[in-house]
Amino acid sequence: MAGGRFRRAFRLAARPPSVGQDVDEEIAIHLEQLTDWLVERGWAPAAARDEARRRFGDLDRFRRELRAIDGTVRRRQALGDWLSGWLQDLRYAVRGLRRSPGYAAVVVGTVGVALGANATMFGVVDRLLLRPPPGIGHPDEVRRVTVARYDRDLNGVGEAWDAISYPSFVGLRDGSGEVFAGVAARMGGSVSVGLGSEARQGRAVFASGQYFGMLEVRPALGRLFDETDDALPAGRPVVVLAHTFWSTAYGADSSIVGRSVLLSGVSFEVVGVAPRGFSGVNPDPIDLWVPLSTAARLFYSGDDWRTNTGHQFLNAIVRLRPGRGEAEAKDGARRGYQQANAGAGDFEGKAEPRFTSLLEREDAGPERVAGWLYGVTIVVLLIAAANIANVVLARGLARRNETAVRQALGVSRGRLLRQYLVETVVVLGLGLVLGLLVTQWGGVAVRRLLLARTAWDSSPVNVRVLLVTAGAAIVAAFLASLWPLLRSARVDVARTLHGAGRSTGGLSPGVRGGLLLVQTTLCTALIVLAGLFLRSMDAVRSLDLGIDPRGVALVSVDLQGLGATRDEIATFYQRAAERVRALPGVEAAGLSVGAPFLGNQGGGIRVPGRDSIPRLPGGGPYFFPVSPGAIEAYGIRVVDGRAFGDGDRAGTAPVTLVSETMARTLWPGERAIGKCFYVPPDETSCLEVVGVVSDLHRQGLDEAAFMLYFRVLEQLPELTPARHLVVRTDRDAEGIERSIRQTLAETRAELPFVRIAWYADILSAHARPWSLGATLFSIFGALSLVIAGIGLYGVIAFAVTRRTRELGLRAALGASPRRLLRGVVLRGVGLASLGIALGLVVALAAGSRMQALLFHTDAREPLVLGAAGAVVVVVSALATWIPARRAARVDPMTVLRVE
Amino acid sequence: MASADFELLRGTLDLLVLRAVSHGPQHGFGVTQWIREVTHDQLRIEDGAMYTSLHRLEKRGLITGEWGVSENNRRARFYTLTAAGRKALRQDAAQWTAYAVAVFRVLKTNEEAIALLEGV
Repeated sequence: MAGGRFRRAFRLAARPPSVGQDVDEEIAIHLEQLTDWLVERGWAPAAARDEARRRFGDLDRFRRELRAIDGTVRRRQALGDWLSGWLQDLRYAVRGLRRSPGYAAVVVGTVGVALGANATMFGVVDRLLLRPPPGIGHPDEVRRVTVARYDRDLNGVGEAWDAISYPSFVGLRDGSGEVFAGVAARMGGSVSVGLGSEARQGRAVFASGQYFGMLEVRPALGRLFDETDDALPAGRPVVVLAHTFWSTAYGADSSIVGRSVLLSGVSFEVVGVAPRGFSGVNPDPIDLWVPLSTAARLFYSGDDWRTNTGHQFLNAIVRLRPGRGEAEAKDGARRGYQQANAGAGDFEGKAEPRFTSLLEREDAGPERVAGWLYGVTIVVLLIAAANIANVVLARGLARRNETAVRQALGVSRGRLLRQYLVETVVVLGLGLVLGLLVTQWGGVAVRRLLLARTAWDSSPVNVRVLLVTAGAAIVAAFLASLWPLLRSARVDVARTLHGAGRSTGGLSPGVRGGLLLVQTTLCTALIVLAGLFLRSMDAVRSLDLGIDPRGVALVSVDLQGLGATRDEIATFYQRAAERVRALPGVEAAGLSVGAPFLGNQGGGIRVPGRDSIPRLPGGGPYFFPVSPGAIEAYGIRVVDGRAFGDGDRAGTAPVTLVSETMARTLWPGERAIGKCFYVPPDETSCLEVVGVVSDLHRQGLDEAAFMLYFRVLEQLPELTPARHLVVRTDRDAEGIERSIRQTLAETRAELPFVRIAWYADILSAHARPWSLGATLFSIFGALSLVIAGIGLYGVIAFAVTRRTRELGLRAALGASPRRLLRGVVLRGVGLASLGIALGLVVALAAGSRMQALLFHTDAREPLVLGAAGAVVVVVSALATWIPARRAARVDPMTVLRVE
Repeated sequence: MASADFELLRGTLDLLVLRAVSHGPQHGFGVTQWIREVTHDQLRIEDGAMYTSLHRLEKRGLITGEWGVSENNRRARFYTLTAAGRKALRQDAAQWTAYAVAVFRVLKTNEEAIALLEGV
């Protein structure tokens, strides 16, 4: 039938009759037709009816059969219709998007970038803050130990830090009365793997025998070392390799187990490989593990390390016994710790151990910045979602006529909704794909550039990241499209078709204005935070370090491991310094024990004429033993007096250089030159101050004031043989590094790995939290600005389009284009201004909580607040101006004719 | 042959029904009438069986059924041969003819029929 198809189209709107009804009707019609036909041929009506029945056969049986067949057909058809409906919607969506590539590009781009940023930062936060370090069994039972030391001034415990002595570790392990399931100690170190030109640096952890067992680590290969390997007085020379190191240095060769490797010149047997991803309790990468007593015996002279309670070089980790309270464990730990330090004075004897979980990190390092940054990416995602909501709303409005026409033609609301939903899903799906690409690239970049000191065990896009991102996409989809879609599908058919939809907006401008307000607020807040980090970064850069770090390298060689004597080592360094100083491109070279930012020596002094010396917030006094050349090599400024000279050597009068703070503190209002102080226990020779130097740093960038002095290396008899060769160069790093290595190799045969650390790198590592914050906050701030700008542009452009008639009328009535332009721009900027004001308030609230992360920058700094506000005003003016110009050019006649 | 318990193979009935709708859309009543007419009602097929066949063919996608209006303005379900149905008709008809020729050859009951069928 020609009409069949058409009929069917109409039938869609109504509920189709059931299978049973259909079959019954068909049979009834058949019987009727046959009866009529028989009657026409002379049958009596009753007889005809009977005959028709007879010819049909068993009515009930056939009815059953027909129903069964039709039921199957109907079900199959319904599924097919349903599938082809979705397919049709999909085609329709793709067609629609190809028709408006601008819309598609904006939404896909916005979603993609926002999701990508979110996923990248989630990956970082997940590794640093959310997930316990990988490879550890039941990580929730494991705690780091910090110890709050007794402070006589407070008459109680003060600051807690995590370094403890070997006797303290033994006290925790053996004297705590079974409150722990396991106690281990570890220290970070560095060894030279191999010898000579083959040598490379290995990041090592020296761990007590219980380490792997108490962390419940399972080896990837071979075995992990245990307490029998770590027996006192000297453990076995065994080493466990990290999975990554095994892969990169040994090509994941499984025959490595049982082979021997040279660590700082000593042969070690590889007993196993740690599981993939395992890098201990901290996130920084580790190459290998060596038993503590083995390492201590080989790399440190004497037995002092395990008897001296003042020698604090270990971090303790404990596993709580399940079922025992943390309070009980703390009591036990205190007993053990205080017993072990009973003879060491109140400082240690009354100290109290504390626990922190593996997820808690106390430093304001990249971890905390990363946490903030993840929050920021959520905000960026919200801004993007608001944008999409606006665009979808605008599109819904623009399609009111289409929607109304299709509803009038009988397309149900549900069906329309489904169509728009498919469109949104397609767009978001594309956005998600783009987002994952961004994550892959962005993740690699963030890891390499900003978080190079973290061990990463998986690709930036992994299952967790994927799940969270997909979840975020779905939430964003709900926020951004479902609700506007619901509104779009609700159209007053008659009114719209009568032209009501043509000139005035049906949707309240309040909704879209509200979205815009949210966007501007969040965007402004982000820009302020970015500004604060930029200021911090600036403050870091312009910080007076007291040294001139440009072109300065610290060179060190681990000779103790080779079994060299104290004198041999001293001679080696002395000769190396002389030879390096003669190299072309080297301006100065000297020796230093400890170095700014890498650690220092400390100890009390006694000043003649004073009962005690003042305590400064940064502690101290501290000192650096240096050779005369080192002051020049560091670029330390001599403010008064002289630096050390060649005349200052062993046997001559002991001299010292003091920092400005020390001079001011000890001899206020007096010249420090010529004064002297004693360093107990030596009460015979008073160190004479020959010069005052500028203050400098000892550990980090952010330090409270402390006293610092320098001593002549040769005038100190008992000293660790470890040295840094400080070299000031004016050449490029590559060439000079090679010649330094060569020079050292000529100085002594069979040299282990020569470490060369450039101050620029050391400082950038210290500046990392701020550079991380400054870089990523700026990127995300700019991103949010662009997204919000696009959103504002879209809203204004749309408003202008809808107000074309009004603007045309006003132009016809004599309003000048300039006036119209100003009106539109002012409206846009006005809308933005409220958001900016709110944004500044939000930023003030957030900033005060972020103060700890900033560097010498006030979170309420007016300059930053003002600049951020100005940037957003400019962007919003620009975003408004472009569509407004179009509005001002409206030709009144065209508009009036259209209406 | 005249007995009412003549058992027609199901496939044969489907073939007849397909043939019945091959000229254009046809309602069920038309199909039953046509088959009775051309067979002189010799096969004595119940109308119900023919309907079952129609619906079975619809399920197999060989014909489609749609409600429409009959010549005397009555609602009726019209069946139309699909492209697949036309192909199936051609194949089944050829197969059936070859089968019939073979049977006739063996039985040698009807030389005329054989000549006729071979000419097809």
